[in-house]
Amino acid sequence: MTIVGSIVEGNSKYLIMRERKGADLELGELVVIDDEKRKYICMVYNIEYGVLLEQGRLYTSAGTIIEKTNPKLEFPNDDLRIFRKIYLKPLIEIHNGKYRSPISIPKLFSNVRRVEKEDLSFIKEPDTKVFLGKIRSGGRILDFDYYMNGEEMISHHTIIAAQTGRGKSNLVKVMLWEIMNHGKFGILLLDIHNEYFGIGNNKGLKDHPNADRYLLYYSKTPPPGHKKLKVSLTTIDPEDLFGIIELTEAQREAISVYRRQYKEEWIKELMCKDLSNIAQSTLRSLRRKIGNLFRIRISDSGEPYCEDEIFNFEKIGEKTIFDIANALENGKIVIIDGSSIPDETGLVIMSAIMREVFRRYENYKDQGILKDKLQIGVVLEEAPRILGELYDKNIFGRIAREGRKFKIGLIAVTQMASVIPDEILANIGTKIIMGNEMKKERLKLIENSPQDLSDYDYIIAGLEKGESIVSSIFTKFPVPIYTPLFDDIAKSEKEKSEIVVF
Amino acid sequence: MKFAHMADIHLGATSDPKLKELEMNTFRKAFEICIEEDVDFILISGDLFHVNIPDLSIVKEVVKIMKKVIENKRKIYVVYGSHDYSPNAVSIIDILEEAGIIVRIGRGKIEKGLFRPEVIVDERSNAIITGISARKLSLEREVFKILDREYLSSFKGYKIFMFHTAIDELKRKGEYYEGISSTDLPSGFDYYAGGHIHRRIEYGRIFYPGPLFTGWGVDLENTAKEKEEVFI
Ligand SMILES: Nc1ncnc2c1ncn2[C@@H]1O[C@H](COP(=O)(O)OP(=O)(O)OP(=O)(O)O)[C@@H](O)[C@H]1O
Ligand SMILES: [Mg+2]
Ligand SMILES: [Mn+2]
Repeated sequence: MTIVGSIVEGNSKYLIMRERKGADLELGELVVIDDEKRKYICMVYNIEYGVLLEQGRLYTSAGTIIEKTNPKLEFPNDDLRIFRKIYLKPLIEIHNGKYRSPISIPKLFSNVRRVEKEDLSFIKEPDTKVFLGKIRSGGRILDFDYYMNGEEMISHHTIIAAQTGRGKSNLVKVMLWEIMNHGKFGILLLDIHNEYFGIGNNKGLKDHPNADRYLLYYSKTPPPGHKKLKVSLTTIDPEDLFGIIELTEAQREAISVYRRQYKEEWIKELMCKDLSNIAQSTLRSLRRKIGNLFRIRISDSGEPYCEDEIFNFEKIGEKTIFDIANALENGKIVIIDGSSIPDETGLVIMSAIMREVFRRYENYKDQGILKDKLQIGVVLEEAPRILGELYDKNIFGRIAREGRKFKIGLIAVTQMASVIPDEILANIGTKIIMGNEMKKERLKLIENSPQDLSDYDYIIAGLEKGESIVSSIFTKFPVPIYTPLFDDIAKSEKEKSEIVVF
Repeated sequence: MKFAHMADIHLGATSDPKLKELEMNTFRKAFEICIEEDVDFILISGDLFHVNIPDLSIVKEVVKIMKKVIENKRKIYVVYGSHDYSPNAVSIIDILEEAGIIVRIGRGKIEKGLFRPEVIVDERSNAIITGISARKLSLEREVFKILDREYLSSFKGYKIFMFHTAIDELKRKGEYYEGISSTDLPSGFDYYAGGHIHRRIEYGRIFYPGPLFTGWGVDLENTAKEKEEVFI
């Protein structure tokens, strides 16, 4: 085992080692210190020059070299007075086979070596696992698969945050692929770019060998064998609008009056029937908002109808919400193609589905049978408004606050973690932080992370595509990982099931 | 062109003699209307019978009724329903076909992994008729996945697609079948003649006539309110 350095300074917060010449450690690398009784795993978070000479001599020497007055190096390469100081952050300590946050420090002059995958054997594979990637040491990828316990991860919410193009969607795809191996989680996903299913020749979740069993795809234009997205407006609740369109107090009040009076026909009646106890001006602007949201027009005969193909008043798709809730309960991944519909349309449908799921799971809890039910998660991509100011009024806010008690969790995917309120962010148990050049975004994530990430700012700024730091209340240290490219994972072709026809 | 479309007749569903008689009377009446209206052909989108081998006295009546149409040089096109099809035994539908009483739609072959249903041209009207038969437990949904759509789109004329499968979007509260999406039907047909949903539905070009009459459980109530339904 190659020694890369020796500990010469530090305290319980950081250690400084002198680097062996040519070891060439990089920021973010993991190193191991084998003490007599304990083993420490540390991360390189800062690199400095170490010089045991008077500074003036260094500047003079540099001058003689660049000005070519005496172009020979004054200090030989093996001069022991010149070296690199490597700052190490102790991440964990392994003692008697157990690991924990460090409570001691290694002996002075302890040898330091690079991490090997054997050093990570203390990380055990959880039961219902979700694959996130391979553990990495800086830019070096170790042959060590990193899984999180899906139940913990999903029930306590997860955020995947990065600047555009750093591999958020790729990571979600990889996670879902693994989940489809066991079908132990129901996941709902609004796919705003239609990139998860795998349209045409693109690789996607449809290529999973279990796709027939565990994948449902709803779209305005589905390929044969998949579901046409149709939703009856009778299955939409006022709550599904909150946080998606802005409503005044008077408008909310009006909605609840119609809801009480006309039950599931509330939208239809609201659009075409005046009620004497509701101000005309309130109704007018409310009709405009709801009309826009559902693309409602009024026919010559005064009947409302939907211009859009998705919603309707004719009870087409009356069981869509119900069916999707069933599918989620049965451990399926349900993708709603949001690429060909307005964002609000997709979010209203997501809300209706999650409301139904929540209602069922509340019941299960009351009946004491929740423990037999599968964990359910909902992926919200770029929906800062939903998680933002209006969060307390819609189903997603309810999930964020109390979903954990009902086995329902959020997976928020965003470029803009900074707009998410602190109290929501604090409720998110797992943060997967990918590359980000925006200081503001990094700070927000660092400040709200389960572990102390104060030394990670520079490292996060420099993460490459697919690289991330997993900081979770369920991990003892921030785990650096690399998520492989989905296409490489999905290489295996979908098995063709045999069909008998006559 | 004029044709009648029926489905989910479920002959033999009832054991009550009184209802049995009503059931057959309704069926007879429906066919009489077809003759009066001088339809070019009749479509039955599955579940003509309640079981694959019904009581022979019922079959005898059916043959008698149908023969009048046949003698009039009109064809009766039928797909298996979920009830009158059997995966491992002969169905009465096969016998009626063998006897030249009906024409069975839904036969086909696999070519390069795709299912090509047989396409039949009705001699009287030139209507182009094809379709997919039902199987038990809605297993025919798998067939829709490998349907040779390109092949079907190559036919030109008035095109009819017969099937006995529910459509998910049309499912109502309390209905629990597993169906296909409307988008699973091959495109470009003029009339999609459906069966299996026991309700009268018009959804774009997709039609479900609903049952004629049935003494079978839940339908009694629904059907009682309606008159005989012959969809022309
Ligand atoms: N692990 C990886 N290794 C190599 N390339 C990757 C990796 N992950 C993603 N990429 C590539 O980077 C590009 C962007 O990835 P992806 O769409 O996942 O990013 P994103 O963070 O979701 O971006 P956006 O914010 O635009 O949604 C893709 O072309 C993808 O192929
Ligand atoms: Mg993305
Ligand atoms: Mn049937």
